[in-house]
Amino acid sequence: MMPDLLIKKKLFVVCGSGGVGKTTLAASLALKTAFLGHRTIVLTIDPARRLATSLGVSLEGSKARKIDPDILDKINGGKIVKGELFAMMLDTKNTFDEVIARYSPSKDIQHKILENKIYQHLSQMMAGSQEYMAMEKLHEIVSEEKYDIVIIDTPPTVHAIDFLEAPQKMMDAISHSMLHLLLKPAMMVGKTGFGFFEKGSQFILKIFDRITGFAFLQDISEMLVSFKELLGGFQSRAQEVEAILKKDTTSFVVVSGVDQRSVSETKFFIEKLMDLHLPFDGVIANRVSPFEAFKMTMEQEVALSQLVSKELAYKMSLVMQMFTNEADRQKVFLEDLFSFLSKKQFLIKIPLMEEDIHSLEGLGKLSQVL
Amino acid sequence: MLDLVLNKRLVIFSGKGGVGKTTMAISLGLMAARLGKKTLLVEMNAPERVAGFFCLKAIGYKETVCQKNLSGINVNPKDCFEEYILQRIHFKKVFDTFVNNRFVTSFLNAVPGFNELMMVGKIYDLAAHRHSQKPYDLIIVDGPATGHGASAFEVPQIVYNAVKVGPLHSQSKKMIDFLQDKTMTVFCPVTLLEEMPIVEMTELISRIKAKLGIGVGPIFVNAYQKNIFSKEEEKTIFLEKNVNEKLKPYFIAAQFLSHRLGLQEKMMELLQRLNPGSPYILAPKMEAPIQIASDLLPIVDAWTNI
Repeated sequence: MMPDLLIKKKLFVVCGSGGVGKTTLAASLALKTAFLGHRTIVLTIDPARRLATSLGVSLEGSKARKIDPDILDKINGGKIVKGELFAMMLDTKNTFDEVIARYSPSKDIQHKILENKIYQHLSQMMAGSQEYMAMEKLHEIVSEEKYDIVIIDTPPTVHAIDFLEAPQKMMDAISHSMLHLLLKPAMMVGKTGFGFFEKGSQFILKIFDRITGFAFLQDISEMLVSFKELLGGFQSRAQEVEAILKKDTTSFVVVSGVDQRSVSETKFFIEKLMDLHLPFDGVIANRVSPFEAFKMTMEQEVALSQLVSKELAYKMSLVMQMFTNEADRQKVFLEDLFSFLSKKQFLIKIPLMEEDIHSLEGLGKLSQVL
Repeated sequence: MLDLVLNKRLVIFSGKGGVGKTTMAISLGLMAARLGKKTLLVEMNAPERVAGFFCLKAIGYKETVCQKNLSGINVNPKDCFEEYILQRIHFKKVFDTFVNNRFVTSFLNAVPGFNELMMVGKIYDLAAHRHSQKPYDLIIVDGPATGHGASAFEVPQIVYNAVKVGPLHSQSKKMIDFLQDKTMTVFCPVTLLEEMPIVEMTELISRIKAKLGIGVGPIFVNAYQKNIFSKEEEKTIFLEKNVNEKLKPYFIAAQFLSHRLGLQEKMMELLQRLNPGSPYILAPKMEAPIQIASDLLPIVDAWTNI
């Protein structure tokens, strides 16, 4: 990774679609910056928890925990590490209850929503809570100003873009809803029945009554009103986070797989980053086949069939064919990705390892490649 | 075993993003069409993927013929909602005013789950042959990816519990009854032999069984790599020392595959341990990239011969 990035940047946002290896790479990057002498914190979102165990991160609640300096020295090949590494895990059950419990401006509002019967049922269908919590945590950590470098792992969303869009989508949906305005007259007077509404509203409400039932509308409306009260704080913090993300000391690093689907997702996401004027610095292509640039020849096949049985030689060349084809296909995708990037943006290739990396030693090895 | 899936009216594929739900849905669709069943492939508000497989530009909300006995549709919340309203309001002017009203359109997005409910309702209408929909023998749904809160097919139950009276209550009840009818509906989880997809799939299955009572069919295991080496050959691959530099890569490649197969075995064990007694159907790993329907014929053939 370009050395000047590691000097200039204070916040690294590691993004990409779910399953590409973000968490591992974020942790590995954090190790690297610690080795370079910086006081680093990494916020991981690790559903499998194995990394959390290796990092020794607290498994309940999101508290920062310092990695034992002796262990850091050991991974660094015995050389003393001047930097420090802290790790924190975002532990959410993907529900909005936590968002509300933590970020309600008052206990009153918190109760109002949590006790709302409709909320209790429908909240499990509200998407975006994990993305939202990640944003709030990012805000917290950066505002505390305790660390030289902050590295954020992003939630394992289906589409990489969800991390950026989900919180705003959620807020837009609530703020644009005008249901409560429609019902205002009745709610103010505390009565029901269509007589209290003006003709235009009556018309809409009568149809709604046939479609959803009026009671449902009222319940939803109450819930949305409470959410709107919650929204004020959300909005201002969201704006602050946006400002943080746009700073020139922030760096967006996209992790990508090397197959068709991953690459088109990645390209789409990069375009979005550019549209939003977010500081995108490069791509880490993960799990790249190590069989690139191997040419199979007749000569070799003959030699092989003399070394092992003819049948086995045939099978081995089939396997080699399979892997080189895969590597060739990947090569095309990698070139596609590379041409999509500007000269200033990096493309790092991480080879496919035999096992997933969970141990600190494994992370150390990875950090050398970065 | 696939008969148990093919003799239903509604098949729903679900699983983590990227495991191959679309591939499984289209493959099953091709198989059903071959068997003479009038089949409909349903995408749920997805970026058009089925269309490309059949060399069509896009499918959209209109049922579109892909090939003999096989059609496709890409449902979206807005069109489903409008169709739902149209079934209940017969005056065009009233309908137009209502669906274009800004209170109404913002309502759709603000109520959690409402969009999903509308799409599941449409799928239910299609599967139950209601409202003069064309009577398909089989509806195959390429369901939404898991991992984003409750999945779409859990929504009718949630709404039914949340709303105790009124049209939504009775509507969702009808959907639930159909979904729970094990002669009509089957839920097929899809996974790869990798840890996270397996774990997420297992959680989904237990949620479906515990909360929804929808019949769960065989687990579809995608991208299954067949072993080509015998035990003896494996020994040779790993024991060969003093191999000339030029030939070493062949050994490395073979060892790599062997290792991958070992991991696959471990994952298979994990899958079976977490889902004891569950039947599964394997879809072979395709070497070449899958781009059009005919690329899937090896899978269809493998399944036809089970």
